[in-house]
Amino acid sequence: MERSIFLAGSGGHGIQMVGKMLVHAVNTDSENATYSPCYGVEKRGGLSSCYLVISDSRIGNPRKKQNDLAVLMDQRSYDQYKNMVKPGGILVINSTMVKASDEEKETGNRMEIPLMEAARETGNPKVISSVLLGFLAGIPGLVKEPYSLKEHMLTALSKRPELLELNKKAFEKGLELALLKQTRV
Amino acid sequence: MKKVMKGNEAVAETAIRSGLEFFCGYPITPQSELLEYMSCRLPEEGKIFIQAESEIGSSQMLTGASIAGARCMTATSGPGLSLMAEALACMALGRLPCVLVDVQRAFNCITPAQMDYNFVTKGFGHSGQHGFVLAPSTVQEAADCTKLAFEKAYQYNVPAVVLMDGMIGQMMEAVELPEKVEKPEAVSYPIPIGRGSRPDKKAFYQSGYGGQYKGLSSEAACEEACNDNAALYQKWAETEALCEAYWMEDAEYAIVSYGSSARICLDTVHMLRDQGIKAGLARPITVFPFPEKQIGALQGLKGVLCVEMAKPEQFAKDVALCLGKSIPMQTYTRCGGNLPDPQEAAEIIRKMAAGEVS
Amino acid sequence: MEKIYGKSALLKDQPTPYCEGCYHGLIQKLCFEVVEEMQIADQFVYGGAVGCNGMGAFTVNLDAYGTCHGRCPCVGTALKRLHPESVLMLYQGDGDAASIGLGDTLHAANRGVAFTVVMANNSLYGMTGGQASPTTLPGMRTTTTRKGKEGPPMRVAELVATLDAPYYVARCSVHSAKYILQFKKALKYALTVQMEYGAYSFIEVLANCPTSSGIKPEDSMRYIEETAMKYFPVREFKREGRPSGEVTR
Repeated sequence: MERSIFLAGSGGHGIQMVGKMLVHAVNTDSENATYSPCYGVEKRGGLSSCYLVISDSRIGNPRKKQNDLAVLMDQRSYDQYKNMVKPGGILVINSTMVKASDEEKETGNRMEIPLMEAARETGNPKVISSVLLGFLAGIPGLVKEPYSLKEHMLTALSKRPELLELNKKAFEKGLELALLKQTRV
Repeated sequence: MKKVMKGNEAVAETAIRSGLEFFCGYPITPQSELLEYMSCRLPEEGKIFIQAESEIGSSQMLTGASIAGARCMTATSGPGLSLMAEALACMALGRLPCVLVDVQRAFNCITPAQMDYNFVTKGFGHSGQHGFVLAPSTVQEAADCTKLAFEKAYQYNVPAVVLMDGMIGQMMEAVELPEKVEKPEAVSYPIPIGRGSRPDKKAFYQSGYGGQYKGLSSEAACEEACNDNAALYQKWAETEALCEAYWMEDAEYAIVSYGSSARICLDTVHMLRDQGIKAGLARPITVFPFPEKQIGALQGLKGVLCVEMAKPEQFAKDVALCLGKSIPMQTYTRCGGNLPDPQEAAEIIRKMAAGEVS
Repeated sequence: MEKIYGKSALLKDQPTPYCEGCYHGLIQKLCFEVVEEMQIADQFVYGGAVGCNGMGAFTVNLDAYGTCHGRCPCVGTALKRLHPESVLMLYQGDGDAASIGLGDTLHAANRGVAFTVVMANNSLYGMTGGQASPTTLPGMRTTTTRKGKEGPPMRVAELVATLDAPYYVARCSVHSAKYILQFKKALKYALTVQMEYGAYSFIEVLANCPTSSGIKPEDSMRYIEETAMKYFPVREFKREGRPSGEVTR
């Protein structure tokens, strides 16, 4: 069974960090994943997106045009990518930075989550990628072993122990936000 | 054991495990990670890494490394490849072995494409001589093709090309790397150090033109060299061409594609099968030698769709040459860094199946 | 009768392809004499280039290579890194080293690759019929500057000498016995420091192409002494990696 995820934002939203964590965490004996990044040419602040595909069999197109889950972090990526979700798929909008129009109401498949606000609440908005990772871990059915996402985050931070507590807190916040919504992919 | 790696890095690591002794290169998106990886890892192995002043410099250093008898490699993308034309033409004519990785992009856009196909398969530069060209479609295959490229380059004393693209180069997935070759065989040239050794056994290499070969010189030498090379390429066509047949046993419609385009079209095949159309994928893995036999053997198909990221078509022309005249063929191309859309490809085949003109 | 002088034993027993009065024939002969005197023929590699100068690779019984125009330093860089025990001398013309190959020349110099470059400067492209090169003197008539060259010549030795990595940079001449001896001494020094310290050296040698320059062989010595040397001072620029004397314009 194949699941596809699309993440987009601007530089600094942790998009690529989260994508890389996911692809590492998900490649196990039972399933495999592909991660394919897209960048603008700017060194800072350009559009940043990545495509992930998770499957227990051979993966074809690594960049699905229609995904099971899409997370859009800011207005620019929302305007450009709001149609990247399959019918019945989940569209997650970072409500801190995206003003969706009135017609686009929140439904079970469309969620407005204050991801950046949660990051700021930890005291350092740079932990946004850990918030996002925690959120994804909290979506049941997305990855077979969600605790591996936290493990990979901690391993990546092992050389920066001073950041461990902060990022753990951020991860928990993201997880909490997901559990509140109780969604399934 | 599988490891999650970026395409560029998997290729670099595989090259090192295949006995790479010398790498030179120049930064160009989307292969710069390969260069950077080499700059750290090669010295760890006690091997040589040089960042050249340009692709002209790196391709000529590659020539020097090959003359010196080392297993050598460089990597680049389209614009750099054009700069390497002179050196590659000379190495192909002079039968100097090396490995070249081309991580294709859409001209000045850094997004993936397949626009260098003609350059690498139709004979390098001004000599029109060939290299052995492999076209992987996944990160695993990029690693496997790198290993194979080293084997073929040094078996035949030719440049071997790994023709990939920015999507493969930049993406990450699980890959099983080959075991390290502990003691690679010494490089052996049919004539000591390329063309033109002298009776007193002193080594001599002269780049393509005006060289000496088999005791001949100038025009006679050049012609004799080209004759020998042509015979080699014929042998490859008969014995070395590789092609994957995916769900082709009962297929009525086939997608013929290579590299990332082919991988994307796996989705198309699955989509069509779900809709009751018997689709399959024939995927050349060597694009020089082109798998003429395998494509020519596609019999009894109701239609073929050729998919590539190049316009005007390059790969499709080679397919058309091999395909039986009775099989209708259409092409679907995207370029400029845009990827083929599996749905659009499926729609073309659906129309073929319904007897509609696309 | 006792033979007291002859051409180098490294040269093949056949006429060289050079014109009468060609300075390549002279400079290369002197190079091979130095190699013979130093007894380093076995480790020696002659790095040939494109141009009349490139024919030298065919005239001598030494390991040699010839390669694409201007790229001699690139090929040499790889070769020397892989065979550090070899003694590598690159022989290039001014078109090869200072026009198409200028970038490669400077980058190899900046890397400090352990080889010795001898750049024969006859201020034009001889093999292709006498076109102007970056070192053509102002007012000189060539096939591509029929009304006389405009603009200054490039002083390549001085350019290379601005870099930190080169150990020995000099400009020599061979238009008289005094300068011939000076050149042989310079080359011997350059090859010695290459072997002992892995040092990069660059020696520019003034030359004349009698066929294309319009300056007859018998006039060339005076031409070099009175004209060429005014633009291209014959002196050392760097020794032991440090500037040697004052740089004058």
